[in-house]
Amino acid sequence: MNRNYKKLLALADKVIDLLEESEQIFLKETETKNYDSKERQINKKKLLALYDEISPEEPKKKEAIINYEQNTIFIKD
Amino acid sequence: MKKNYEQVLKEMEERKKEIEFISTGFSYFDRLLDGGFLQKELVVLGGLSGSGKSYVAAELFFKAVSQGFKSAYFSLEISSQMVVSRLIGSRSGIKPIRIMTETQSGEEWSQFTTGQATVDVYSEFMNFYDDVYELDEIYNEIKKNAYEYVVIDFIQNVVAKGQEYERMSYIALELQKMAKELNCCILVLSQVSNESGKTIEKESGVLEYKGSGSIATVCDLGMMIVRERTEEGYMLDSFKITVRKNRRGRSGEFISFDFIQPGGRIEERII
Repeated sequence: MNRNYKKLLALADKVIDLLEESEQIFLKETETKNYDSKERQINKKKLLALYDEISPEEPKKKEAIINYEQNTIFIKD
Repeated sequence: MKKNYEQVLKEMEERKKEIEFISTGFSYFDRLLDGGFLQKELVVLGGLSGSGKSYVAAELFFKAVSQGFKSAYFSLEISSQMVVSRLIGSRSGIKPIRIMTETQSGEEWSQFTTGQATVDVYSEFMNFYDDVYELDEIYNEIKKNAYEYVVIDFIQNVVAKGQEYERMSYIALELQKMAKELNCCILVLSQVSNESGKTIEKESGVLEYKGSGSIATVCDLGMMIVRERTEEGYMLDSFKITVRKNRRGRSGEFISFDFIQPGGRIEERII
């Protein structure tokens, strides 16, 4: 398998892990009513760094996608 | 084992499939090495104490993992926490020691988390050891985990049987065999011999690593790092890496680099 493809597969798995982590953060935030916790900010930065590596899209667009994913993950479920 | 011409050609074809260049992440450095390091190679980087060998090794390690090479950093001197702090420090512009001791200021929190997030992207490919000293144990770990790029910091601290000279000769030869057998690139850091230390400033001086002449003999790439100093002898934040031995190309050339403080990021100097 091509090196770059293997790398992207591993990074895609990591995106899924981080989005699952977002779910837990969301649950915690709902309990504490703190909707901009440090955990969320770190989770978002990690997602941004991953998206930077995976996709060359505009930073603002990526941030919008992450905000959307972080906020709507339960709605989608 | 005897091999005929066709068998060797066939082996070359097979080797092409499994061998890849591991970019150093620095364009001039890569050009000097015709593309970077190769799997199955033993690379030695020597230098005096405090010359920045471990910083350079950590940076090269990160460049390898960011290309998707499953890598391991065997630190036989500093802790794994310090290695990771250096990786984050380099990307956040914060002194590694402050990251390690969690004494970064509140204002630096954003910088720190950005640096940490950048390193975190490649966590799947990074593995650290700071309690493995035995050569056999290093071999077993590389084999078991199928590492493709390995850093050993540093060779004089590897434990094996024998007195210093025999021990170092044995370790050097075993590492070379290991790189070939396990299809990985092994970057080993080394102290330099007293003789080599005297001529370290020269691009074509004596290439001798501390402990045994075998280290220089068996390596595929032999490099020296030299920290630049003022006329008064004070250490500067710049250094050069000289390729002293290159089994597959030119030697005697060097690349200059700068440490960008306070994080210790390494930048190639464009001449």
